[in-house]
Amino acid sequence: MRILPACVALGAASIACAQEASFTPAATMPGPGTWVSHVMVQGSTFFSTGPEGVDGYLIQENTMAMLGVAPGVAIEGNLPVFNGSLGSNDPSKRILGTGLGNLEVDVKLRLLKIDYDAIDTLRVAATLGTQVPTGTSGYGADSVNPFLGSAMTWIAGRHGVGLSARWMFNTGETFDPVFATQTNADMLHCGMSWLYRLAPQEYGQEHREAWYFQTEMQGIYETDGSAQWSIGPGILMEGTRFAFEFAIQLPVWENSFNRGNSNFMAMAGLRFLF
Amino acid sequence: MPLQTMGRIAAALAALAALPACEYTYSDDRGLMERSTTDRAMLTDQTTVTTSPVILNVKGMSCPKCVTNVDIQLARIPGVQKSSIDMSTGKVVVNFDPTKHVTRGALAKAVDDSGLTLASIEGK
Repeated sequence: MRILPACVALGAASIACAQEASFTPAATMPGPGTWVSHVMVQGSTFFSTGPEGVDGYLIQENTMAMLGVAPGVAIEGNLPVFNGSLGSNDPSKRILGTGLGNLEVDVKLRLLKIDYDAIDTLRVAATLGTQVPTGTSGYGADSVNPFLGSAMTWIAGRHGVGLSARWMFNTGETFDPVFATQTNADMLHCGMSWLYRLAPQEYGQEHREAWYFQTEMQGIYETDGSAQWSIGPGILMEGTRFAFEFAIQLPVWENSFNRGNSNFMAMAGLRFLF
Repeated sequence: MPLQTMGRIAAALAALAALPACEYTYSDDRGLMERSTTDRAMLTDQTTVTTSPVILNVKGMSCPKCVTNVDIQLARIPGVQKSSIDMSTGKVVVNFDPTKHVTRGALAKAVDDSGLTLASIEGK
């Protein structure tokens, strides 16, 4: 079965700790000795018009954590758990059940920080990490796949803009791949986000929470020719110690090469700062 | 060159990790450009703050969690009792025990460690 649920790759390891969108990795990080944890649950449905007839659903739970280890340096990890039913015209290639995905670990380095005033800021960070083959039940890759990326976060008043790009080198190929990172194709994942602070209009001494509307565009390109572009709105409520988010992603354009198409993805998440 | 452009260039230079101690002194009738990263001299200032409270003027507090980041780092300084933050102005009011020898450098480092920029300290 060659299914490529884009949402899984798109939702990989975005640990936000500020005015940042759900799927687009941000350039911010906690201070030394401070933890940020992030739990996301995503549900996706798939369909296929191809001969393989791939369809079904997938539920993904991401447990992510980031620890500030020095000023401008953080380490982060993400271990996904999957439950799904991904069908095929060939019953022997049906995936059903629960399993672990690949563990991802990386180091995030702040490259640039410009704080313009009390609120406005521009940050740029780089990440260097790898996927570790911890997957079970067909949900993981059998290879160690290194990746490098960068992220930019720009906050100006009530607006927040995020840009990210990540290139993953795939060093192996799973016999029966499910996800993009299980094939032998390298992958470029790009994200763009815009957040608008709905409330409060102006911060004051009494304000300790904020509501944001968010819109995100996500894109995947793989060196085997597969590509996918999705967009979707969301809502983010951020307090001082936690945040709640809900977002959906809808496909705008897909060139689903040997894979099923995703037609809807919904996500709910919680973030905590310790 | 327009003042705003000069400010952006200076801010970008000061923000580069490779130039942590760079200085810029462009000035006009508005006075000295404000820094966009914490001055290294502030981080190493061992002068003891004697009067509580002290006010920190902080830049880049773009969200409630940023506020908590500052709170967490300040609370780790021995002697700091309480901090309150006004996000609209970037002013952080820090109450501390004057007998604990809290230094200006420790306050600056706490803000810097939280990923924000300390523009200035009001108080002695």
